[in-house]
Amino acid sequence: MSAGAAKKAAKAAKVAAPKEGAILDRGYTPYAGAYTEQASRWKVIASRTLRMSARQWWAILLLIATVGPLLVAGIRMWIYSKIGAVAPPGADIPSPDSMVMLPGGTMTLAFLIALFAGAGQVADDTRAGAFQFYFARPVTRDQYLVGKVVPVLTLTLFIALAPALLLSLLRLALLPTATEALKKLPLVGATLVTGTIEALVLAVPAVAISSLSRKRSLVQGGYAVLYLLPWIMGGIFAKVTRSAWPDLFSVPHHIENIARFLYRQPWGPEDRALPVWISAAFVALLVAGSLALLRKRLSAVEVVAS
Amino acid sequence: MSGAFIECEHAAKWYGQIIAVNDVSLSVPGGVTGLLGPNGAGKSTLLKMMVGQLRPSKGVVKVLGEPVWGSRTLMRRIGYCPEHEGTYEDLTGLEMVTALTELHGFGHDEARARAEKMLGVVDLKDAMHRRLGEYSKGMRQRAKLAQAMAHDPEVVFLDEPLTGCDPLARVRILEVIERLAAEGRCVVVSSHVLHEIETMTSQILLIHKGQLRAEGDVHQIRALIDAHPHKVRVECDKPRALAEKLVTQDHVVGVTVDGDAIVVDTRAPDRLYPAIPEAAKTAGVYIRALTSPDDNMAAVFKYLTETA
Amino acid sequence: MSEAATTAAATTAAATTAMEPVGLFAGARIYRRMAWLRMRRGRVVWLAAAMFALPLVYVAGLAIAGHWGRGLFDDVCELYFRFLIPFVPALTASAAVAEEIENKTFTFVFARPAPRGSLVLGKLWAATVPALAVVVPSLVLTWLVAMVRFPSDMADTWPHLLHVELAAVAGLCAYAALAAAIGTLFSRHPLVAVLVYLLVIEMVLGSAPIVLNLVTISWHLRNVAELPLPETAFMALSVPWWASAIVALGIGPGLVWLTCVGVNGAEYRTDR
Repeated sequence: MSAGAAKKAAKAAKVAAPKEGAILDRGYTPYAGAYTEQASRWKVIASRTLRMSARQWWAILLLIATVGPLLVAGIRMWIYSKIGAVAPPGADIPSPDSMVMLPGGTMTLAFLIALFAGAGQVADDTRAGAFQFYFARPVTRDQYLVGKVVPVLTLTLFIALAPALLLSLLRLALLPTATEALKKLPLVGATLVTGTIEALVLAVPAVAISSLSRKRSLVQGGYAVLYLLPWIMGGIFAKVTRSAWPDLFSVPHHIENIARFLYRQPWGPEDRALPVWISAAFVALLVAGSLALLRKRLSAVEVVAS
Repeated sequence: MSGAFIECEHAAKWYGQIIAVNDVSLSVPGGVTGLLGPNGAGKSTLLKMMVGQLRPSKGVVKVLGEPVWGSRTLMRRIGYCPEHEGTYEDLTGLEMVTALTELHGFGHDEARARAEKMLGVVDLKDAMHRRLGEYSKGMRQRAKLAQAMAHDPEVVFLDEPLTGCDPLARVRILEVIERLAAEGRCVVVSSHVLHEIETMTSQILLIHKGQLRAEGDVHQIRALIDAHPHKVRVECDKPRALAEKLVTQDHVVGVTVDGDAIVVDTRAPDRLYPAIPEAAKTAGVYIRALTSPDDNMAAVFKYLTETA
Repeated sequence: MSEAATTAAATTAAATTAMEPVGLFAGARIYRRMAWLRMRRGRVVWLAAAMFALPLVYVAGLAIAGHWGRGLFDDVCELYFRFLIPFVPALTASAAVAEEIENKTFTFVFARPAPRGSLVLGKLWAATVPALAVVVPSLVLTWLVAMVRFPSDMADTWPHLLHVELAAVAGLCAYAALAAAIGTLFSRHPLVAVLVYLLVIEMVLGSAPIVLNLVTISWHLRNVAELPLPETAFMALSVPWWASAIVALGIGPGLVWLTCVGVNGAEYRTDR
């Protein structure tokens, strides 16, 4: 064997031989337990956000404030049902069913809770640099989206649906016979659909708008303008033009239009309303468009440490 | 005024059940004084009381002989560089410093001249026409320094001025602080990093859990700590052999054998650290790990809270 | 005193000589300039300007569609008084102090000898004056477009325009001051707090058929502007328009003063 080859062999042997002072195994073992399902990661975000939001004083106040319109509508429903039972036929008494719509009731409260809870969600995370934490984990943008929308939707649903559902159940309870109650059962279905639509229409755009800026006041203001300006303008100019088209972009008008259709409560003779399919299309477009906007904004997020 | 720029007399601040600053009495002379303490010690609260942003729940805080809370005239003579990064993102560096200097009562032209000069001092001359939103962390820190000094205050408060700064920015900032002290002003620098304070000054105030634990020259405080033996833990293959070598050193107070390691108590850690490898080489000992359980802030404060 | 300390004192003395005392209005001028620079470079002011252009667009469209006269003008005024005048100041003025707290910039501004109230006054000034500069001509243009087919009626209706302008000016000032006051009290959610007030108090009470509507700014503004008032079922009270004008014009300065006093003595924390 040549000197060079011997040298190489010696070096190789030295490399192969175990070194003195080998790394001490301190017993590290990788985690071998179960992981939660990938698809359920949104629940972690949602539950934390919901818990945080529900503890805020404004959420508690708004949720308690819902009791007011509920009590008023419940009492009126009871009164109208009693009067209706004894009044002569053809008497001009409001239908107790109409009280399920909580006239003058909870839409403002639902809007406010969507504004408080929703219209700062993504903006606050952007400002606080929270994406660095979320997206350094196996959490997808879609899971983050769902985790942010669900709590706002839940809080809004509580106000939009729960009182109406209680009133519809009260309505069934006030009916004299089980047969009549069964006939009125679609009222409960109408309540569920109307409440869900109202919650979706209020909650999802709020979260979508909050992805447009990092300033909470700007997004809250933007959401308030988008909700209030068309509503007020539509109301004024519908009266001037004697047409329903100025209400085309008014979210409260569309919600009420759909509710009246489902509850079979027609508009008054002086009121003007758009065809209900337009309201349904508007609502669907608004929710779908908001989700698409939110998805697009989140997918474009680059985590930049500021 | 007794020569002190800042005086606290039994100053305390609490929020409900939480006591942020607890019965602090101190006086701060001219020059640079370091306000040192771990996170949550109450440094920022004490500093804000000195700046007049928080009202003491008890006691009084005086700056230049006057109670500072609610004193607008004192604000002219005070400069404050806060810890937080908040700046006016939409304004340029020059616009922000000019406007804030104008709020001291300077005319617009005078304020602008001062702002330009101070931004030059902190090395932001080239960037002063750019918006603050485009500045890096270090640049924002320097802009904040500029607004704290443009009106030539007698007392300057700097809350964590070196946070987020790169090495070059640190050098610049330290130069500025040195210059302020050389001009006879009082500069109070708050930090939780001992060695940063050491580069600036030897006078420190040490605060922990809202209480003033030590006041005075930093070397005297370290000497107090040095009077308490330092512990150094050495993990090796032959602990007793190493212990035999080290116990003969005169600065070693005691050696404890702890399984496959020894813990050496010494009054002079600076002498022990070079002695350990020498002793290991002589005794043929293989050292696996070397740590000092009490060479950290927690140990320093632990000692100080035990002796308080 | 050491030489260095003497130098420092001399430098500071020279600096102090160059300074003028900073009063409320002097400070407010500086804050106004800062706020206006920031608003101009942001998006809010352009959104607000666009919103004020909407009535013009609408009135032009309606005029083309064949609606004319004082009735049209009054209908468009509803948009000003029910939305633009209450809500636009809410967007621009509610965060006067809250924004400084959120951005943590109050630590700079409150370490100045300028009175703290000058921050509120300066920001209100920055929010309100441009709005007035847009609303006043906007109302005139709206009136002109509504009345263009009846020039002879202009002579009869211009006093009504003056009433509307007076109500608009008083309303903008009052609502801006109100927004700043509420925003200072609820500094974590200033805009929402103002919206709650506007939606619950102003809208509900303002259109309620009971005398309680007299506590709302909107009722008084409508009284000054000669717009239809809600019918009062109980305890009907007739209030002359000039009395409502005094109330509406007085609310603004009163609230501003209260807000300044509140901010002067308040503590704000950055550790939120």
